[in-house]
Amino acid sequence: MVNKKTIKKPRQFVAFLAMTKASVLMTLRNPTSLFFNFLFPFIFITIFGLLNWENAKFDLVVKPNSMKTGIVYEALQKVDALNLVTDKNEEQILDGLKKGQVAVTLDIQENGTVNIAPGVDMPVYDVHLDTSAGAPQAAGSITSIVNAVVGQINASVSQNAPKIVNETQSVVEGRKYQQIDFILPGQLAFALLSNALFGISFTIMMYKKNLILKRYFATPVRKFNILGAEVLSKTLIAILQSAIIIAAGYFLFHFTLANGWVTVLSMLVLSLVGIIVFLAFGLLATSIAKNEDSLTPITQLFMMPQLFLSGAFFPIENFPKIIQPIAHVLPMTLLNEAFKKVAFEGVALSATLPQIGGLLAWGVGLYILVLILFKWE
Amino acid sequence: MKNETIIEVKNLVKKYGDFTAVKGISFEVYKGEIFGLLGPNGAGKTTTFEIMETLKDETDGDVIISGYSINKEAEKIKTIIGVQLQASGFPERLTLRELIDLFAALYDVKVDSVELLKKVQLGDKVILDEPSTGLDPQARLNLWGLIREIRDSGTTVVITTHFMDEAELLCDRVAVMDEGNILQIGSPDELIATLLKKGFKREKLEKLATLEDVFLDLTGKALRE
Repeated sequence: MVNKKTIKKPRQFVAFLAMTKASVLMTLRNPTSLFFNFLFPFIFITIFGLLNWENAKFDLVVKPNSMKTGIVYEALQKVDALNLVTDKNEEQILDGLKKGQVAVTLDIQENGTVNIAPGVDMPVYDVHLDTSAGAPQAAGSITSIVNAVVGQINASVSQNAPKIVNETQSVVEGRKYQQIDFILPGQLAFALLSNALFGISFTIMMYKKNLILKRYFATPVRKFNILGAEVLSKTLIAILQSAIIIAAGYFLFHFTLANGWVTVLSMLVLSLVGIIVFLAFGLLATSIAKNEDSLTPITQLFMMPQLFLSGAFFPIENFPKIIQPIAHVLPMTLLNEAFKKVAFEGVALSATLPQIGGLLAWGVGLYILVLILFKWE
Repeated sequence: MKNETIIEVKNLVKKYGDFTAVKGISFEVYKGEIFGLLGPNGAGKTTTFEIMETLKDETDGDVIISGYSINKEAEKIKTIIGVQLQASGFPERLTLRELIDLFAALYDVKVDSVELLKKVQLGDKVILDEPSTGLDPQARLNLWGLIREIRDSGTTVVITTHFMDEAELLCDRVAVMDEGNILQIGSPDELIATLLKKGFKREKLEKLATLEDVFLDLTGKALRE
């Protein structure tokens, strides 16, 4: 008869932490993953930062109670570089001016008449421009176009007569935004998605192929702790990645952090929520893929739609109306929107609860699928 | 040696679809011995080992290690056995020291990672699947020394090998297996005696030294890098 040996049960958390540490070291010592985690996002941000946006039309927002007829309005309508926007209300206009999304507003009012020649009376127009301090470059371009048009009108009427157009300007104070403020949130969401997706799916595939998973199975470690350690390790790396991108964005490209440290922390919390959801996509990809060759197309299948529809590269408003609702519920869109809200608009983290809730719902659904579909062999 | 059974394989069967890799084999391993499972490729050695290592589920039968059944208490068995897989990988880009610390943590034991030996002594039973494959004669000699040391420190060792000279020198007892069945179990001397009783005669008389003896005499016994 054999004596049963009393066994000290190995503590799973000790194993869990050791595997997490091993995985972090592996990633940080791998030049390829270092490149994709930390260098690649900068290349993207720099390229997008250097893109020439000069050819774009400038939006000149017309105030609701402004005249939309008369010599000045018609002259401005004819300017190719200007796009007169007439569908915004006062509230939207003020909000837009403060956020730098609206650069200049136009207000034309008639102010009596003036006699320019014997028997000839002309209406006099007061033109007022509100410019946003948040969009100084666009505001500068638009006001100079309007100045030129007004000058031409005055000159054309008569050399000596009184001016028929009086132009005034006032500046609405707003935060000064750089181009990086529009680019960085989307690029950060993209970096998190691609690294989570490729990072964990190829690591697990490599664990299977190189029999590392088998080696772990021969130890008393519980199976799901192996996956858990991988998720934690990739999460830690992603948070580090986020912090570095935000820091570099701030120091190198003058990225706006609306509320300083609070904004940084809010963005890191959002990164954490986002990465956990994105890692589920990666685990799902390994669950579905039969081998290394089919893994790449499957990860691309998860990434590409989110990449193009998230609004990080192309504005969602430009998509067909049928696609827009889908685009708005994709995890990367939710994360991108939440990033923009805290960084760009400076709102509190609690104001992004709809986005966080949406991400968590995705997370629950995806992890359930992973638990059902994941294959250990 | 008092023959206390520490591993008991009972009517073990493993089927892969229509193919039966292990056909109801039974054997016992005694505490503190080096036990060899021998047989040609495809005999079912690795399948048997992987069931003992709890890496594969058995189709029928049972394996009892230190009183624990692989059916019900696989977790406990994993804790008390040390395993050297025939083919396996380790996390990349880690130093040997970090790897030892990692695996020590997986078993939740403290080891001085410099003392490599402790790594293979995590349990009091060690299962080795063709450990000497690919080693040069010096490294093989060194491995034999290591395995004997492990045995002498009280650890039971189960091993497979294709080298009969290795089995003859190293193992206290061996089981010869083919096509999923165990053909014979006993000490190397007993098995040789049985063969001779049947009237077996070698065509040529044994030389007094082997080519390996020549090799080691010429190149020395010291372990190479």
